[in-house]
Amino acid sequence: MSRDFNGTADFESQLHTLLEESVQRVGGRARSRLNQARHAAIAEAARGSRWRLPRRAAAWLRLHLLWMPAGGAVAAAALVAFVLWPHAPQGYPAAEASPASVEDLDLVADGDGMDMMQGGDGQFYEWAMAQADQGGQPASAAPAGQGKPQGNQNAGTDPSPNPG
Amino acid sequence: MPAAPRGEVDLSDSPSNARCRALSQFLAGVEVRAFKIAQAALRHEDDALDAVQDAMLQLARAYSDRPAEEWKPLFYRILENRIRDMQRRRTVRNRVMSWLPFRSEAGEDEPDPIAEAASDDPLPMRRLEIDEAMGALEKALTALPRRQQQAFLLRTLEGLDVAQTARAMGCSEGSVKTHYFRALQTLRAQLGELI
Repeated sequence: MSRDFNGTADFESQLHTLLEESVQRVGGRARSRLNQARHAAIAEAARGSRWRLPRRAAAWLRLHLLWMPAGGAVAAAALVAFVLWPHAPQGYPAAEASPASVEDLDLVADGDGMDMMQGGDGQFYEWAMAQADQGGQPASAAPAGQGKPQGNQNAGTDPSPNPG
Repeated sequence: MPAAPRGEVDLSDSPSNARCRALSQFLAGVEVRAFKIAQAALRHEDDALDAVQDAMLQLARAYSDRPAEEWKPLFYRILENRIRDMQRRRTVRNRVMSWLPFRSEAGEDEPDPIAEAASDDPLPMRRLEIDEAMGALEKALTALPRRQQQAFLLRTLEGLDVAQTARAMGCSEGSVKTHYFRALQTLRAQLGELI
């Protein structure tokens, strides 16, 4: 404190005395409210300490809670990637572009094939059903006149192998 | 351990209860001075009581596990923030209220009849002198700039040292010394003849 000035220390001391006196004169109503406030604060502290974790556990939790959002984001990204990634069902080989499937595509792309699909050739369906009834035997074992059409040029006209 | 009765705080022996006891003693030691400091800043008894109550709750809630020697600067820092909030809110409220035509100010600052009741003081003349000096001091204190007032009251009334006052005010020790010295000069100029 600035004791270099004459009487400053006395002045400070007198101010202190006056302020202490004013503290002593605080009324009963204010003291009562302060008392209630103090009890409320202590109850709050007691409630808080009952649920407070030990210091080391709290530090551990804080550290891990800090990383939790980042971990959660990574996990969510991995889950999204797993769901969206194209994958075959387990136990089955992955689909390959076999010669048969390419053949089917050719049939569909072909103009004649399109006519056949649009229902212009009932004979073909009859032949296909007969094939199914025979238990899927090769076309060479089929009776005469019900053989598989030879090439696309015969589709929709005459199923017999011999034209004319 | 028997449970505390409903509505009361169990302060039986355990580390946390010992801390609660220490906190209770600390608050009991500072509450009236804190109230006077808040009252000087807010110039309203109920507002000052609210500010002290909020500061107590905040200290208990958030800082009760800090070392006990840190409580005082922390408590006064919280109180100062609370006072500033209330001053801001009051400014806004007054601005809004000034537009209302039907506001009534009568009865808001009525004196408490119990507090105003005459006491059986044995030295009425001395008391009169003290009353006069105290009234002048309180008037001079409320007229001080806020930071000077704060530095003066924390140093003189609460007895904090310069470092603790700086922590409570959130400024440097040099600033505390400056504020305190200016406050002292102003008070001396105004009260020099009375005290």
